[in-house]
Formats: sequence, C-alpha cells, structure tokens
Amino acid sequence: MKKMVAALFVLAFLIPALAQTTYVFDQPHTSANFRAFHLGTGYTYGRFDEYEGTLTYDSDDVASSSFEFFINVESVNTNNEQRDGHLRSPDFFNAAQFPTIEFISTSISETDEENIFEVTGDLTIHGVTNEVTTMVEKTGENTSPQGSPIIGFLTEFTIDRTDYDMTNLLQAAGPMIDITFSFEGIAQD
Amino acid sequence: MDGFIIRSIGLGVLLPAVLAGVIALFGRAKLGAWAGAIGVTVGFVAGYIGVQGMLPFVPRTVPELLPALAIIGLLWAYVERFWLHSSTLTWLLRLVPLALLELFLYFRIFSGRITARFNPWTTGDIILNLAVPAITIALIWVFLTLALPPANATNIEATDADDSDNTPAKRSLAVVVTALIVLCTGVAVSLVLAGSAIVAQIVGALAAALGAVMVLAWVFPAPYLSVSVVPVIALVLGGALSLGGFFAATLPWYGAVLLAVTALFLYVGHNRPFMMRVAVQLGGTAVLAAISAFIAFQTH
Repeated sequence: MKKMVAALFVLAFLIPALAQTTYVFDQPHTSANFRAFHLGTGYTYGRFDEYEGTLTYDSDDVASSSFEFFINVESVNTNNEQRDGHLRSPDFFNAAQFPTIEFISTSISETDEENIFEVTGDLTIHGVTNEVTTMVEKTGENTSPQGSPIIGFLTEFTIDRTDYDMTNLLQAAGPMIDITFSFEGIAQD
Repeated sequence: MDGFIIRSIGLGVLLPAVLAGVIALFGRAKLGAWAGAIGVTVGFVAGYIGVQGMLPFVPRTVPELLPALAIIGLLWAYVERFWLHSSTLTWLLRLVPLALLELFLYFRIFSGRITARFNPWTTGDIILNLAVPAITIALIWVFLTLALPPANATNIEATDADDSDNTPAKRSLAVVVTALIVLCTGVAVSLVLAGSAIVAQIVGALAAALGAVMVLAWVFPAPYLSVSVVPVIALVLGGALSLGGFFAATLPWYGAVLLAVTALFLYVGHNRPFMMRVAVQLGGTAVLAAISAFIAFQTH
C-alpha cells in the first residue's frame, strides 16, 4: 500500500512534467526582423541573422510555459554593409559593448482568442532591461520530416529605442522600432 | 535635420570654443597656463552636454566615458601641480592609481564582450584591447608633454630660447596647438569613417575648445596652454581612438596607434627655424592623419 501511494505521489509530479515539452529554436525557420522610420520619410527594414533560444511549452498549463531568446547583435543585416557597421557602432546598438539582445519571459497567460497568448518578459537591448508585454500567436504544430515535433510562434510589437538608452541620431532613424519575431522550435528528446 | 545641424555646430562647436576661450583668456591672470587646461576641459564637457544632452553621473558607454576621462585628466593634472619638481620615479608611481582607475573603467566597458554568449573574447582579444588604449594614451601623453610648455610657464620665450626671432618664438605654442587641432580632426574623420559618428562629434568638441586657445595663441602670443592639459587630451583622444574607434567600431588597431604616433609631430622640429617648424609640425601631422583616415576608410 505504501509503495502504491509513493508511486502515485511520484506520478502526480511527473505527469505535468511530461506534458511540458522543451523546444530549441530552428535557425533556418526563425527570423527576427525590425523596421525603423528613416528621416520621417519611409521604412528601412533589417534583421538579425544569428540567434538561439529555447521555449518550454505546456498546452495543458500555458502559465507554466516559458520563452527565452538571445540575438547576436553583430549579425544585424539591413542589406547594406556600411549601414550595418554603423548600426553596430556606439551610435546605435554599440555591439562591441552590448553584444546580445535577450528576452526572458516572466509570465504567460491565455487570452480569449484561441492560440493567442499574452507574454510578459524582460527585454534587454543596449544593456538596458525593460519589461515588455506582447501578444504571441501559436501559428502551428506539426512533425518535421525527421520525425521531431515542431511548433511555431509569431509576435509583433513596437519598442521605443530611447527606453533602451539608444538616443543617438533620432532624426535619422525614428525612436519607434517595429519588431516582428517568428520562430519555430524543434522538440528536444 | 536643420535642428540637428544647428545643435551640432552651435552646441558642439561654438559653445566649447567660446567657453574655453573666455576661461583661458580671462583666467590667465590668476591661474596662468593652468587656465588653458581648465578652459579646454570645461569647454569640452560643455560641448559633450551640448551634443549628448546631459552628463552621465556614472558613465556606462564609450561616448559617456570620454567626459569622465577629461574630468579625471584635469584632476590628475591638478594633483600633478604639487609635484612639479619631483623625479621620474615618483611620477611613475603616481601613474599607478590612474592606471588602476582606467582599468576599472575599461573593464566596465569590456566585461560584456569577455562573457558574451556569441563569440566571446579570447585571451588574445583581451590583451589587444587593453594594450591599444595603453599604447595610444601613453604615446599622446609623452609626445604632448614634450611639445607643450611646463605647467609653471609664465613667459612663452622661456620655452623656446633657441629661436632668435622673438615673434615667431612667441608663436611656437600656436603652431603646436594648430597641429594638435589637425590631429583631433584626423581622429574625428577616422572615427566617422570607422562608423562612430557620435564619438567623432565629441572629439570635435575637444577640437573646438582647442581652437579657441589656438586663436588666442596666434593673436596674443602667451602660454595659454601648458602640460597641465596633457592628461585631459591624452585620455580623451586615446580613449576615443582605442574605445570609440578600435573597440567599438571598425578602426583597426594600427590605425589607432598611427594616429597616436602622429602626436610625435607636435614635438619634432621644435628647435628648427619658425617656417621649417610650421612645415614639419603641421605637414607631418596632416600627412599621418590623412593616412590614418585612409586606413579607416579602407577597412570600413
């Protein structure tokens, strides 16, 4: 009897843990894009080419899920090498001193809409951390050709770069930066 | 964009020049050549505030570090006044706390790179990034110390006794300061070409402050500037080159060191006839600064 109670006790802890799946970002199917308003005239688009991250997703208990991603600032790419160099300089990202952009979620909750979650977390850019809240859409779940479960998410939000102490050349590139982050995760065994 | 240009010129150039000039001119009666160092520092810091909006209490980034280095340099120069006739050995010993303070400030800047998640620094990177600031600051410090009159100079002739023609002798400081502005311009242009425009603009504020002293030195020849200003200029220019150019932007280490070596021309030819000195000091500085700018252009 004692053994049965102990087994049930262990199972009670194991079941939620089994429902949770950890995914790592699939680089070729993840993209971190941004756009800035140039000279009050038009949008200039860019992206980061190198990143890594993990997410733990629990479809039964979304609140216990978590996201974290890390972007290599040096990998900024706006399809113009000279501008990319300028973006890495102390005028903008100061990539040598602050080489990583990171986001670590602190809370996730379901919304009234199916597959839309409200994610709050700490976003660190240029060495400054601010709390951001954004709606994240689960865009799909499937199985990869290699047989691993995969999951996709998409989020779009806007930040004010001056909140991150990026105050230089605001006339050239406006303060509001639109960010689109789409990522696929591959389940880990 | 017009507002940006007006702010850059008005607050980044005119404000530091006017402040430095007024302090150097009217402070000289009481403070001697020390007034020039105060004028240049106050002008530079005011120019920084004009460009960046405010002075950070605790510097966090490379641009923010530059006014802090200027203030540290001025305080260092003030402390130095009490050891005017001391030996080289005690001077070297006094450099230790300054070096430790700099190391502390630099590690604040470098720490993110050492522990970076992507491409963290190797031991070689750490050594190179500590060596470049040390070399650039030391070269500018030594050459400028040789080129400028001593801190207690009250008469410009005393610093240039070999010159037979008195009037050109009085203008020897003007030539040095003019060459120094050429060097600052070379640093600023190289930084712009290396992709570090804000740091370049901040160096421009230093050039503007020195510009006022240059005008004074040409119009009213007198020791408006002495070695008191050396720590300020060496720390700001060396810091801008090594941190704003080499570390944070694309200026190669040899471009930064070449610009620091350019400061040698502030001293070379000091005992030559006046026109020869003008040619050597201004020409040499301009040629090396232009080569450095070309290196910055090529590598960006």
